[in-house]
Amino acid sequence: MNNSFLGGLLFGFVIVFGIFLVVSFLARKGKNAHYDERQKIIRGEGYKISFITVSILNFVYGCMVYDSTSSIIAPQLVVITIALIGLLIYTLYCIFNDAYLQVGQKIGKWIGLIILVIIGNGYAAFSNSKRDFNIKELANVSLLNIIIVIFFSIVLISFLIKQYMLRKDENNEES
Amino acid sequence: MKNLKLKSARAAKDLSQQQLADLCEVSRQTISAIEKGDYNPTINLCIAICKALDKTLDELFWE
Repeated sequence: MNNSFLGGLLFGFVIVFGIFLVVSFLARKGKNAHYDERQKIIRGEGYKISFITVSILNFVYGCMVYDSTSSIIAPQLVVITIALIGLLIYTLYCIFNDAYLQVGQKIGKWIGLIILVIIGNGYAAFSNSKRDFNIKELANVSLLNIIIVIFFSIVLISFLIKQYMLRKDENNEES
Repeated sequence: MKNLKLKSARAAKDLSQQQLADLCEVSRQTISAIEKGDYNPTINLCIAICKALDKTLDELFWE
């Protein structure tokens, strides 16, 4: 390992740790945002469903698909995609059961963050010219960027659909 | 089964679902789910709702 690699590693660690500290400070500073009892139950169910899905997908990939596809698609990419699929199932389950946002949280901040992630990863994906599925059996970074863009786009669309449904529901319920 | 007693008690107090949710520190969707009968609240939440609406547990949650 050369010095620039170690320097980059250290720099990355400091940046990530710094962001973590800022986010935890902001989260603590925030009002009394919390999940209520129904939301906690929904989140637990969502976690269970996504855990089972990820386990099954990993089992199927490891036992049946790995041998025939490892030379075409990097196993690393598949495993990360499976984890993201689990995360997506969990997120969508929580969004459509009103358990994603905490009590008292505003949706605007989250939509802004999601759009930022889509733009950032979209730019990274399309500015990178390498788009092979397999480079020395490692996942190509630009492909991961595309997968993240797809993941967050689905989350954003779900958020917007849910907001539309909530508005409709509010009008019906309060009458 | 719909909880019409809760809905009418809330309406009698002239509270919206959001206002009742704020008083009980839960989401509006949770109040909506209780009124629709889609969610059975814990005793703690039942008590919070009763206090917010000045009703007893029997009046709101006993058939």
